[in-house]
Amino acid sequence: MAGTRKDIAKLNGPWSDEMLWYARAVRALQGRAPADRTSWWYLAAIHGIDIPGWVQQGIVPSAGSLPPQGEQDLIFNQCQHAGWFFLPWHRGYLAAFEAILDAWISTQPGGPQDWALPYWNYLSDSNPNGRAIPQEFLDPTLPDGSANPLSQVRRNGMQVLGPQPWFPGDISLSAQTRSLPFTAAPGTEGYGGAISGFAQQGSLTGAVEGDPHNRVHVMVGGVQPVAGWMSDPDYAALDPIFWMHHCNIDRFWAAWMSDPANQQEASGAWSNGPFPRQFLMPNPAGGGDVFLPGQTLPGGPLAPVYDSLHDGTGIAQAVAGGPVTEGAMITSRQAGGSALLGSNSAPLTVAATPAATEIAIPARAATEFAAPPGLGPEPRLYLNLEGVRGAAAAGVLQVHLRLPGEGGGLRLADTVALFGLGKASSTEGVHAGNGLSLAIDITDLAREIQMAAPGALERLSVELSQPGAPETEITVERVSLYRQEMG
Amino acid sequence: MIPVPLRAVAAHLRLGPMPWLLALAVTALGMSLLLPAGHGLVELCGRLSLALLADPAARALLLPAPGLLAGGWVLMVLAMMPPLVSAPLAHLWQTTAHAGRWAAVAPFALAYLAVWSLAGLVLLPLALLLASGPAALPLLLGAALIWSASPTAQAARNRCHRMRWLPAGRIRAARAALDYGLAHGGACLGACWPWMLVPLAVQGGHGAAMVLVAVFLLVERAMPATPALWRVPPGIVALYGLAPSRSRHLTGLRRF
Ligand SMILES: [Cu+2]
Repeated sequence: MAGTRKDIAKLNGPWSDEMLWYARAVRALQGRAPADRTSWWYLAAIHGIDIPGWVQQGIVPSAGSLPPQGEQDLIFNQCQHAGWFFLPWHRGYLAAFEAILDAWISTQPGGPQDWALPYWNYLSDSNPNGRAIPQEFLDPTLPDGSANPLSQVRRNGMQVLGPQPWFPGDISLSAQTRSLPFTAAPGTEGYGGAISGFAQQGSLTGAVEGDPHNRVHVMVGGVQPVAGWMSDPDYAALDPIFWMHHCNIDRFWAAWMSDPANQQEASGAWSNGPFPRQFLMPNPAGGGDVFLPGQTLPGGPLAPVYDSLHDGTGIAQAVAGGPVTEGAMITSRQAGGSALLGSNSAPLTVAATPAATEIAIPARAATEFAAPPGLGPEPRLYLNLEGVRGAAAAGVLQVHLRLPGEGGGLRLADTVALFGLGKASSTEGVHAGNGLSLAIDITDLAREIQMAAPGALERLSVELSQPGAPETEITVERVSLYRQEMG
Repeated sequence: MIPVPLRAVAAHLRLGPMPWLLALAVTALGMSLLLPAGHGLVELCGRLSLALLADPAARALLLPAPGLLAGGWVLMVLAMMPPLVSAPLAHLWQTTAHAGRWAAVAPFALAYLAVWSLAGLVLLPLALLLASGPAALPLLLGAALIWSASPTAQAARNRCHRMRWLPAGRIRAARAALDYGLAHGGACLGACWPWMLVPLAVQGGHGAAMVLVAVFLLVERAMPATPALWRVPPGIVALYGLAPSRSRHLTGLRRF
């Protein structure tokens, strides 16, 4: 039975017992055959696998070393992104991984009986060096001089998370601290994403998935000259830091649910999971178990325990030293709806040069938005990039809005990390090639634009660019504006 | 206690336009069974043979008015296909402005229906040729299963998952919706066509056969995209997931 998940920075490190045991367990799992359900390779392929690429990079010796096709169809390529199963699926995935490591560690001489996954607390309040990749993932060797399996990976990103020329944006706790529904109405933001079926790449990225999840993936993996493992869902879980990153993302969700102001989705379509394809995880005995999103909720068998839900999560303790709060209301009530106001009229291609486009919305919609009746919460406006596709495994896009008037300058709306761009764009494998879709909250910026020149919002100029101006092309099928209707 | 997969199915059947599409399918099914007795497609099923067709007297007796035959085919499509387009319809509805929703959904639906209706020009004569004799049903069922297992059908099913976003402008949007409906109809036809011959080979219980095939196709449609390889028909794998977990070890389909 796994114990309490702790902050790597608060362990007795570098090379605390917990991290040493993690490294040893990773090495043990890497020694198992790819078709072994508890091997490192098998576990990573459950997230995603590009078989020719894995063989070419020597990750597995041959396609024939993998389990039979029927088994692959049931369990490989399962990761859930851009939809409301992102958080529960990854929680179940972490639990299965932790149980398999725990089963090995607890049977080793001197191995702890309560080993649990540590987490990388990159936005820690108490640790100014939280953004640095923990030393254990960089050292070439373990303290005993043997090769360190935690650093034998393909990474060409940052060693300290933060703005860089190729990623002029930052990670934040904005998903944690804004008041968001769990499930997004179409074209808007939700904490957990939009309604989806079984979808490795659903229709709309959730807030915590976009920032910090996707950003940390791309910042650690890097995008140029080729994407590192962390930037590509078909390789990400091969990097041992993946699990510490996701453990922190999972902790964000646990913290979000502990806030009584939030409402956790619990409708039947969410808690019973998708069908026909279901969520299936191997267990330490080599069997497999289907799990349901409902089982990952507080009180359920897959709910983890963290040492702190407050340090670096943006969620304050309700009453310092007071009683434990009941947490988020679990609800099956749907949040308010949304409406498309307008869109551009042709697909865009962004390469080394930026691409500009214009969204037309009805005059009434613009004035109504700029001057809401004043009752209840103000409506929010979202710029959507729909069907974002590209051949590169990952990418970065900057989204600017042009201010009205002569020589109106550009204002940054967002910098987005396109984690899994290539996989989502491919029509060959497990995707339909629908690309990525995301919603950016531009409420304040849009109000400013409408104030600066009444009517300016009726023709909104949007500019997309790739920082560092790489030659690789990114296409966007549509750019549009949605208004959230406050329920 | 209802098994989890059934609860999941029930929850998903309540989402989006699915309840309306199921109602449409049930209505069309009822109508196709109520067509004037002795003249509908239903009466023809499983009763035809080339020998009979060669005899003008028998032909006149057996073959109803072409209009009724065509109507029977369209009703059959309407009884079986609407639930399959729940996802693209929901997508179009949600990604189109309120005022333009019907202008997006209608061309899509008409184009999709047109593809299947025209396919009847080939599929109905094919059914008349093949769907007779005691061996017809097992042969056609076998052929449909082999088709479902094929890489070509998987590639078509993958195309069924493809989404499009309509551009601004009424005419541009309507044209794009029409294109989308044609492409989607083509993908759907590519994935499902041999299955439409199966109910036509069933004598008595034609309605039940339509329902069973429609459920199978809906389940295949709900499986996520996957590489186009020879594989156990996804509908079989999926329906297998509904079986009690203890019995799943028996066949080795589910190795877990
Ligand atoms: Cu991830």
